Amino acid sequence: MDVAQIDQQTVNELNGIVEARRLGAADARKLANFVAGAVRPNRDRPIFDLVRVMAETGAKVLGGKPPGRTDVDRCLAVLLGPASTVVAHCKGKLPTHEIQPLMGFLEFLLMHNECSYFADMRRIIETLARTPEAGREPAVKSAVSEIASRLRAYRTERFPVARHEKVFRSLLGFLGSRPKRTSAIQFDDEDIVAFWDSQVRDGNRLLYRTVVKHFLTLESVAADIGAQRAMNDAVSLYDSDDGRVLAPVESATESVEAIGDPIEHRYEALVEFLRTGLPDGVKLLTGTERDRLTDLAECGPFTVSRPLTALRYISFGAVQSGIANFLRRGSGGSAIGERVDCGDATPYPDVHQGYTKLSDHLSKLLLISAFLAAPAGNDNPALTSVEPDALAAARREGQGFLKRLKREGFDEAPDVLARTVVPVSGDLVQLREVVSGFLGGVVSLERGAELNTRFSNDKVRFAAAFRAAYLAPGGASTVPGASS
Amino acid sequence: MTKPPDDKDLRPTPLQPKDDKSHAMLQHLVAEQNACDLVNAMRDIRAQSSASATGISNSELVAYALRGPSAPMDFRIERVIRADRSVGLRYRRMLQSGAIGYSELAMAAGTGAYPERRVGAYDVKVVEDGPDKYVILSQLAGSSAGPQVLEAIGRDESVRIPLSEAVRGHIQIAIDPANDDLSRLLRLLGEATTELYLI
Repeated sequence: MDVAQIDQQTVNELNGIVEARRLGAADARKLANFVAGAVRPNRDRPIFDLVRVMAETGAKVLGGKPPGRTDVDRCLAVLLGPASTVVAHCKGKLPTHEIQPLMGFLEFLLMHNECSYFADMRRIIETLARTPEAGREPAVKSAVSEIASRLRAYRTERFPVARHEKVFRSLLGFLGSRPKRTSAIQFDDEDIVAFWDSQVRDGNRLLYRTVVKHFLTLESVAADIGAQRAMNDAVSLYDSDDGRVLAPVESATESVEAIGDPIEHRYEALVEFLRTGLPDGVKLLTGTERDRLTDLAECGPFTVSRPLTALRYISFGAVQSGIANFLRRGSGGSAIGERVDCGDATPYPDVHQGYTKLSDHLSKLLLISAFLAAPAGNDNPALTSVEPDALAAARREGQGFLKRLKREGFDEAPDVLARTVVPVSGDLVQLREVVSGFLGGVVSLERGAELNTRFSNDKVRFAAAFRAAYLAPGGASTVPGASS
Repeated sequence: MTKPPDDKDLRPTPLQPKDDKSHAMLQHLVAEQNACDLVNAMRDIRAQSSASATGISNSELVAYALRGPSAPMDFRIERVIRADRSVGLRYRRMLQSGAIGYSELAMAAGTGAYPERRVGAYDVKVVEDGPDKYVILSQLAGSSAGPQVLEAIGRDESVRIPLSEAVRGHIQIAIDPANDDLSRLLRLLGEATTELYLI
């Protein structure tokens, strides 16, 4: 990913908000989604929610009196203060499950582009606060429309829209051009490789891993859109053609709680946990184990639904990333001529074996966690449904593993270790589920053809594509694809 | 093999008009990719520096800009406003959002040691009466709101003076040379580049 493509001012602004509000990874992701408009099915839904929060808070702060000059500042102070105060003002009237990222979003709207929109936002807050509840709906819609319009212009100016549009247009065009398909957005493992291959042979040295992520995005967007009929609904509340308010977003707002976060966020949270959430002082995972789990979690739902794509991602994706890194650095390790032959690619049976070992290790960690949790009485609620004898046996087993596990930090006293290990047991459970799902998928895959045969066929295919991309005349000097 | 895209191909341009059924899908995909890039860039930058750039939060800055007439000066925030151009610009835009009027420069025709100013619905001038000096704010006809504070921001210093009620459209500030704030105000009014805010 090339950070230079991203507007640095926006990045710095958002990071300042994340730090000041101490937003966790999930809320930081939501904040970025709100700003980028990556909210399905209607990207203006957070604006609608925010405006309603502003109106409700304004009404509560003023207590029914017409606002004076300093009252508007009081509203601003409350809205920019702790989210708990805003929740107290809106409780029972509005959904407050996303209040942290929502208030971060307000802060962004006030502060972005050196506060150039600050006065307008202040005016909007004042207008909402002045409007009696009975006539509030038109004021809310007008505010949403104004802010949506502002953000639309901001995104066009600050984000590399054309660059991404070009790639996704190619992808949709590729899928649409296949004969005899029931849907233009249905695809399989072969379509993913074929699209990547076509791009590589066209001179766009996209990373295979990037292409897999594009297909993951496509699948989750298509699933949401299909489920929520949004192909027929407005993507935005604001229509740039004539400034009309196109459609109400109330339904999108009200349904979001029931739907919950998109499934890919679960995998993103695991990747974030592996990057930054592992506890210090105790080596739950080695560097290699962490990298392997990160590779797998990056494959998202494909770990189960498309295990072959996940195998390719892990095995040949690593080879191409190695080539891209070599070209970026200009040195280190084998020469490009050797790398393109995929001699370093991990055979699929070895990948399977590696993750089987990892699954065993995660199971042991969970048994150790169950043992450590017992004396402190801080059991995971999930364990309450386990039959007591089975739980006691599991704990004894965990105690045995703890004695035998020779890793940094595991020689600490159990009560000290419990404070580090037990809180992350939920993440470890999820990681084990992902690994188990993947292993199950690979076993099913093997029923169709031997893993070794699949690997050999893929090796020929990927090596040919790598040669075309990196050994063609003038091909090995730059890596545009590595930035995608 | 086709050429890699030129810079001009990567230049941000608006999405094409709604020319096909895939437009909604395309918009979502592009937004998702932008969000993904944004999150990755945020993480990379955070990993490089753990401390916030300025040490003051947005809510602190807003609260300071919108503080009451008699609130004390916070030297820590003042230092950042002066040292960090971006924070200074934000602070001034926040002041503008709540100001009855503001003036970023003295009038071109302004002459003398203390050039006159038009700040919103007020004329601001310095009147000298022998050794005594007064700052007079004269309300123009038709204006209604009365300011509570005059804030002057210069290149190296700034001052915030609480104002009394207008009497027959005039607010008078007698400059006491022994008062640091009032002396600073006079000094700042002598500079054409001083920004004035009536709040």
